[in-house]
Amino acid sequence: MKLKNEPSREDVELTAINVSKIYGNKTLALDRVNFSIKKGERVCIVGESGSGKTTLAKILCGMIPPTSGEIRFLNKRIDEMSEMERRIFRIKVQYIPQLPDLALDPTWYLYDSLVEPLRIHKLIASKQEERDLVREICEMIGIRMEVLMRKPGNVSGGELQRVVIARAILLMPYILIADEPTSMLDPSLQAKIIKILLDIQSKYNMGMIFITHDLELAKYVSNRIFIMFKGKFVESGLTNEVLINPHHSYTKSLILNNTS
Amino acid sequence: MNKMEIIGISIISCIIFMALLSFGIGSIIDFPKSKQYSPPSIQNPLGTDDLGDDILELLIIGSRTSLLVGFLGALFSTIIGTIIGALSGFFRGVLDDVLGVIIDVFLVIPALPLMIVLAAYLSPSFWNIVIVIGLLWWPTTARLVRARAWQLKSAPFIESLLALGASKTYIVFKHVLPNVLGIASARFILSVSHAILIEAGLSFIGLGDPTNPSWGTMLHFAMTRGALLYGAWWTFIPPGLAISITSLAFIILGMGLEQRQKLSTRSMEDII
Amino acid sequence: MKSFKKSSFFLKILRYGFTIFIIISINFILPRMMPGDPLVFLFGEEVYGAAIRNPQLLQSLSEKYGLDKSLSEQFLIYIGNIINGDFGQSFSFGRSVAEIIAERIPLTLMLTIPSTILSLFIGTLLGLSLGFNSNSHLKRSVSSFLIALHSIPSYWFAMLLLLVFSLWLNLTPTGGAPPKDANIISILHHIALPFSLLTILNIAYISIIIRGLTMEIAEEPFVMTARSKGLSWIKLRIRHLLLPSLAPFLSLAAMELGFAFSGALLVEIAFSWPGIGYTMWQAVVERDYPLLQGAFTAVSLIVVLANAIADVLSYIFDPRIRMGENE
Ligand SMILES: Nc1ncnc2c1ncn2[C@@H]1O[C@H](COP(=O)(O)OP(=O)(O)O)[C@@H](O)[C@H]1O
Ligand SMILES: [Mg+2]
Repeated sequence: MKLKNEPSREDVELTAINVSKIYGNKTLALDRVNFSIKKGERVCIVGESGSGKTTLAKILCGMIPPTSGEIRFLNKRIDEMSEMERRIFRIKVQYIPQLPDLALDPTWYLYDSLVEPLRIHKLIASKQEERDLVREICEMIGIRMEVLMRKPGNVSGGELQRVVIARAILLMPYILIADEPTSMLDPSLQAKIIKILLDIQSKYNMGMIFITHDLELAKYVSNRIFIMFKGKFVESGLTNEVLINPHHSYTKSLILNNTS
Repeated sequence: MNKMEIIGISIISCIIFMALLSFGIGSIIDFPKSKQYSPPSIQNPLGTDDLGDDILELLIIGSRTSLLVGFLGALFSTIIGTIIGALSGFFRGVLDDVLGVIIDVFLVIPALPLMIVLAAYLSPSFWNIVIVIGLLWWPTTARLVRARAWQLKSAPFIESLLALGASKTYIVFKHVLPNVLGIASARFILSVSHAILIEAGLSFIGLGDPTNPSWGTMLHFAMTRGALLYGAWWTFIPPGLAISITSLAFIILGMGLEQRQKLSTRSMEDII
Repeated sequence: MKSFKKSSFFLKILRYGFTIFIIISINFILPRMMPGDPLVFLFGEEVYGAAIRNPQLLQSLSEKYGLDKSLSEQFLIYIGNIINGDFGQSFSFGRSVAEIIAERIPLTLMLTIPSTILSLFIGTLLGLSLGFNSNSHLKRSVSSFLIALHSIPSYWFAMLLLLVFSLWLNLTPTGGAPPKDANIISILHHIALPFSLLTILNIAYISIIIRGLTMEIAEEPFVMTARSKGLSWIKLRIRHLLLPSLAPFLSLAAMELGFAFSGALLVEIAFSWPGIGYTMWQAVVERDYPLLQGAFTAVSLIVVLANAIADVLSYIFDPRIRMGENE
């Protein structure tokens, strides 16, 4: 499965350099953050609610601009990209938003929402090709085709979350950012969704960023981990090392809270 | 369907049936005239007016104009209000500023007097009344739609479309408009009620279409030709009652629809 | 933050100035935009007919309104005239529009201002009481009734009142204003029906809005606490609802005045009460465009002014706006 205009490269890297974000002149949501992820990596960003995880994710995928600092993709600042380069960035870095209930247009059929990104970027030549691609992805993620004939209000949270994931996967991104992908689901579903994401990650050798506040989950899914506290990374490194031998007091308290 | 919707739709169906009947009656000109100002009787169940025309037949003929003007005027005003509201709510910058000022200005200028002035300049005709209502009854709709579009702007699915590089025009027409349609349709039903009242008011003042008499026209003649002073209550009670019942039916239906939209109680204030 | 709040307040006031400008522009554009000679609209069929037959007259009329000049020059002349209080000549009355309006505005104010004050008072209390425990059977029926009142055309309501009280019971006159030298009894006699009708309609309007506001606030925790402490309902409503919502209340009062004015137009016509609304009607019947526009301008100016005053008052009184200032 390959999309038109796809640059085939292995040296993909998404980097944030000294990124800060101030909302409305007063909320400092991110404070000089550095971050990077390569194709094939699994990285976790862990932090309590309000620490700035979603803000960083949105900046990384170009959804909102940073107040200062720069984001680089394929060695190019995203705010200095040409239209062509920007288009590739928009397709190849995908974000799965945190709240699944308004993640898709409530007035659209799920099928149309699902293929909308393909249509916007004219990545598919024919209806037939489109349908085949959708079928393939849905099978992989475990979405029944008849679910796609409904609107978001008439499906369960798990089904909706799968469609949102499928929508991102359809674009064959190099980097996928999943923002607390399971926080709205019940535990049995959580495991399934995580498994799907991990399968996809290894199958397409994507770079995947998991955002979570659950250390157990982080331990399970990631090679590298970043601990975020009040808009700053207080600690980062290989997941095992950080969790076994934490340096920062906040990380220690997190681990303590998690085990108790 | 909730109870309000059922009540509203039942009454409206009856009125529509009445309007359809009017096509069988033809025009007033060729009526066989009866005695003038005769009170209700077997021949004239609702009596006659000063020209000897049968009130019941006038009432049935009037329903057509009242309903059609109400419907079309509301349709135009809702379309204008929805588009202005959606554009202004979704776009930042100059467009929002300009449209915002226009909405505010027209919210302050009292609508009925302006409609009277505009209608007086245009020759009185069916379509001119529709145009007057359409052009001047959109600001409240625009304000409501704008607030909803404003909320939508930060919805995750819109954010993700922007991140995908979808154009704003595409987003407004494909996503924002469908999402404000719920509010717009509830507003439309309420606007029909308003438009029926406005048409009646303009006709009462004498700005109605003389060739397409409406319920308001009947009240106009009752007032200017002395039916009131004559005590011929049967000439003006039925059309006024018809206006009130029809307008109320649309309000009830609109409130029913709004309940379905799960809007806050606050929107009651916009019903009026 | 401070400068932003302040400037947004002045922007609002500026907006009212702009609204007045738009109203004047509409008045200017309408006769010039319509098909046909604008002179017809400015002087009426009769004068126009005479004028076409008399080129000299036509010439002098055109010059007076600058109709031979460019549109922008005409607009400046028009604005100049308005600033000097010259709204043109009513051709059905043969008098200056400004004079007629000045004569009739007091009659409209005599009706609307007491009615607005009384209905704000009663409507607010009624609305507060309907908004608390709004699910009770009685309260819901009353609210439905008040909403239903909105679909009754005011002038028709007026005709019914005239039928019952003037024709059948012979209690009130069939319309018109009291004579110039009337005593208080005669004035009350004439004003009773239009005043009562207008007040009933205003009360229905206000109480439904206040009810909505109340239902919103009534759910808030501090109101719940206050109630559990046993504050009497009237104290509770005034302390916790009325005072904090003074600003919305004021803008409501302004809106209400606009509504009362529009509503009064049609009520005046039905009662032949010679205020602004009745004047508009006379102007429509005679197609007396200068008079019609003069009346429209007067109504709009009063409404705009009422809104502006309400904004200034809420700026002065509302604790939240002032707190925003000090932030
Ligand atoms: N659109 C916004 N406007 C203003 N403040 C915001 C906005 N989004 C987030 N914030 C603030 O920024 C901080 C970080 O929020 P967020 O990135 O959502 O944290 P997290 O995803 O870790 O819970 C919070 O204090 C939040 O209130
Ligand atoms: Mg978050």
